[in-house]
Amino acid sequence: MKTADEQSLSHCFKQVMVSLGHLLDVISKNTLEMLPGNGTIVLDTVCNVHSLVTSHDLNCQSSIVHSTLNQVFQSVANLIKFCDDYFLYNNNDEVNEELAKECVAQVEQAVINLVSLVDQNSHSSLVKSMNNLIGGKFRSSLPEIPRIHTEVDTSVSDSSETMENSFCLNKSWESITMSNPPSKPPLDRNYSEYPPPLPPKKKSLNVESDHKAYSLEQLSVSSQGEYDFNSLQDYSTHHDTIDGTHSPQLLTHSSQYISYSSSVSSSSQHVISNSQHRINVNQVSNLFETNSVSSSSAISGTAMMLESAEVFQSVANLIKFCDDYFLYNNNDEVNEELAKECVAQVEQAVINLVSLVDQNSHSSLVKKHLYQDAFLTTFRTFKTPLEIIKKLIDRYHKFVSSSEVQKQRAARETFSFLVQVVSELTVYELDDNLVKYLTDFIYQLLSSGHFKPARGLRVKLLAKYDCKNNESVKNEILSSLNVYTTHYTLLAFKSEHIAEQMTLLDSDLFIKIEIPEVLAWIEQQNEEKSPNLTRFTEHFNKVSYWARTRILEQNEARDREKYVVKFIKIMKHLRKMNNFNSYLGLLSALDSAPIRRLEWQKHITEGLKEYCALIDSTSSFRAYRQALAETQPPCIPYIGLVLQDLTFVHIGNPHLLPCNELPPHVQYKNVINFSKRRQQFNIVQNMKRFRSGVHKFPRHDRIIEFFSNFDDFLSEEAMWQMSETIKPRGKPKH
Amino acid sequence: MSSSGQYSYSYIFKYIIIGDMGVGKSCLLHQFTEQKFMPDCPHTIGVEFGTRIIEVHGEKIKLQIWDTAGQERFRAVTRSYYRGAAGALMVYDITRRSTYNHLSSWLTDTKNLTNPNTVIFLIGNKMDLEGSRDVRYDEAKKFAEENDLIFVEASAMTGENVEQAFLETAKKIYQNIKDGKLNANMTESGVQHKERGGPASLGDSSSSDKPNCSC
Repeated sequence: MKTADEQSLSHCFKQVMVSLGHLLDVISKNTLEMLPGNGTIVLDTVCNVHSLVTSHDLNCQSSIVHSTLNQVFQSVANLIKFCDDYFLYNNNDEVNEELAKECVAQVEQAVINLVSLVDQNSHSSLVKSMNNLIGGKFRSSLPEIPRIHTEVDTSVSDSSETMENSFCLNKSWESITMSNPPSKPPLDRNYSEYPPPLPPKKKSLNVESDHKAYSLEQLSVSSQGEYDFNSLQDYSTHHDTIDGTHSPQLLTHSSQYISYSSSVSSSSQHVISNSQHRINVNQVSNLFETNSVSSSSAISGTAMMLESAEVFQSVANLIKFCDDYFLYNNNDEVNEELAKECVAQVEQAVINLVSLVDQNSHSSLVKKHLYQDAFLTTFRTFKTPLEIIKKLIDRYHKFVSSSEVQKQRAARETFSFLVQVVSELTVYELDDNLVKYLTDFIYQLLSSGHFKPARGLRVKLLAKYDCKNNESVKNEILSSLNVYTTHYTLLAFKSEHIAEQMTLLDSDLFIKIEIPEVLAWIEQQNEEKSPNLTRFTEHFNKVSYWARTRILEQNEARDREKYVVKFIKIMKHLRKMNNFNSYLGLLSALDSAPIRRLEWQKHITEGLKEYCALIDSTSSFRAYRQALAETQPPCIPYIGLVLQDLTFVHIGNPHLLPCNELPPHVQYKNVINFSKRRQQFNIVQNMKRFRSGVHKFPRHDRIIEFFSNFDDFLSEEAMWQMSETIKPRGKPKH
Repeated sequence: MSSSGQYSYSYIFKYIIIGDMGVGKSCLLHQFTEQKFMPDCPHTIGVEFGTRIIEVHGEKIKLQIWDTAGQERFRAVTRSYYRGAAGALMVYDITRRSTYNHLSSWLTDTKNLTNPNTVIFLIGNKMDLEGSRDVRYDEAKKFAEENDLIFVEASAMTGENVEQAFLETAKKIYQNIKDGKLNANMTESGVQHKERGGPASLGDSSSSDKPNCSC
């Protein structure tokens, strides 16, 4: 056991040293873009060592242990700060290599001291290997930076993930159960002496595994793709079970039910031989007492009543069976079949009751998450991200220093929410001010030894920062890609292929639109604050004007007609692909005044009517809304209508509501009108839903080139002129 | 046939409301139709927001008001809303001169895209904010006269003159019909006529008789 421990400690220690060496390599070879990633690896490896060391029984009161730990925290905090500061602010300056070496040396020394804390006697081999490592100057064993980088990355995360995972889960469940330990079934011991004669035992096991599944589900509900980090699971688990309202109670209760239910089943078997049915009754009634507490919190009445009634009935049957036997048939043989039947009924009824509680606490969790989602989506309509982040950090500080369990939970909850806010920041919100605020906070966390939360937050922040950098690079590439050769005409390509490629381009732009910029547009109409939305809108207009131009530039009526027919065919495919955006773009082209006024064959005008019906604006686009509601992603909706709906909600609902129900010491006269935000959330939710799907078509470069970014179009005036050249304007109608 | 109380009317007039973003187009409409925007119930999303039945010279007229607020940037689409409008309410904000300066371009669009008899009504919104006025009344009045527009200052906030703007426009359109300037049977006129008591005319919109959903 100890040797295994030693081995893993030695392994982890090695990794710290390797990662530190690698970091210095990165600096000396000037591949500085890797600096933050290296920081993460150092942090991970130190974190592993720290976990392992502290899992030994260290005397935390001892001043040596205390100061050694502090040394580790402080040195790691400094090193990370060094990496991040350089990365975030000084990209163009030369790196201060001396400072880097100093930071690395400090971490090195601190970790060595930390490892030495573990009982000297038990790790002579460890110390040996440490010395070897340090003597051998690990750096020379790194031939090539990028490869090592990934190698270290995966190996570290592989080994540490499983470890951290078990750590976190254990810890969180420990603390949940410890805070309110479920009373153990008193008859547990007897249970093993009486081999279970009945299948229901399996059932009760099922409940237990159901319960586990439920708690895992909880994790996944909470994670929703947000928490890819083990370190945060720890937090989210707490977060969800504690989750404000009633869930903590429910959860501890439902785990109590499980023990109850197993005790019920064990004791009910007991009954058969011992007739100690009183215990049994007490336990079931206990179950009800706990139940009534939680039922008042969340559970819908009828279902509960039904299940309760079954429990009553089944218990009554069982008791009757016991007493009947006791009172009348003392000398007869017991009817074992009947006994089994009664026991099975009680068990099933209790199981149903428990699963009902589980379901309900689950649905209240889902509700809670909806509220959080709505808040996360819309808070920018009343506070800036920086303000929210500041408030959350203040709140975290306020609670984290407290020793009260409740406040500790609040701190964790706050932190996990902070991480969510950060992970949903848009790239253009990530300004220096905000980044500085967050890196300072991470530094504080590290200095006080909160490695895992610090790591989680930092990784999110760095990921955001990467997005931001990639974004600007991509945009440059796109704008420089405007070299095209237009040998082809629209008619040279299959309509379906054209529709596919249009959809690909639309989709690229669509998924870039961030929800906050949509909400910001409604209030401010500022292009800089809604850059992706602006780009998308422009693209839409361009497609439409491009299509108009292609039709009008044809000299022959027959050719114009061919083009119109072609566009109609393309629209048919766009509809199949759920690309309502370009569908409407093309439709508005065919339906535009300069084109509409020309004479078209009847089959064209009739055909067009059908297409118009989808986007008909009567009853506020009822047909279109209906179609959209029935559509599964991938889909690209018409954003104009989203904006219109949001505008109506914005205008039709006040920002604040007067509040008369607040306690007198609260100073606000008005509260934020959250129902307005909920409506906004519901509208943008559809966009979110469709963003989740991706159109997967192979890219067809010739067609993309042919589009040439849809830049080739005439002005509206020019199109009017062409239209009037084709068909001179008649006398004004009377 | 069309005698069912408040839902019977003899004409439908189509209006559009145009102007820069943020001038209060939807607020004016909101004020005039007295309809709550986007009630909680999702089924009501399909309701026509901008409709109201008014009376002009004893005739019931249903106003169908197209508000493109929020969609302004989707030029390719919003332009098509102009077509077949009998009335255009052109709105600027008296506290923001830029919105007044853009009027001429809005006017050009309207004249290009609507029929020659479309009644254009100029509204200087936010007259309740006298303190931050940025456009003088007589200045706008002069612009209106030069361009043959009816003009009023109004406040979507207090409701002052809002009713008047919508009603005056309707009266002018009605007058045009009576004078024979506007043919109610032309599809692009923005006006649909319904014979009283007789069968609905061909041009009648299929959806026009549906009562508003009340959720």
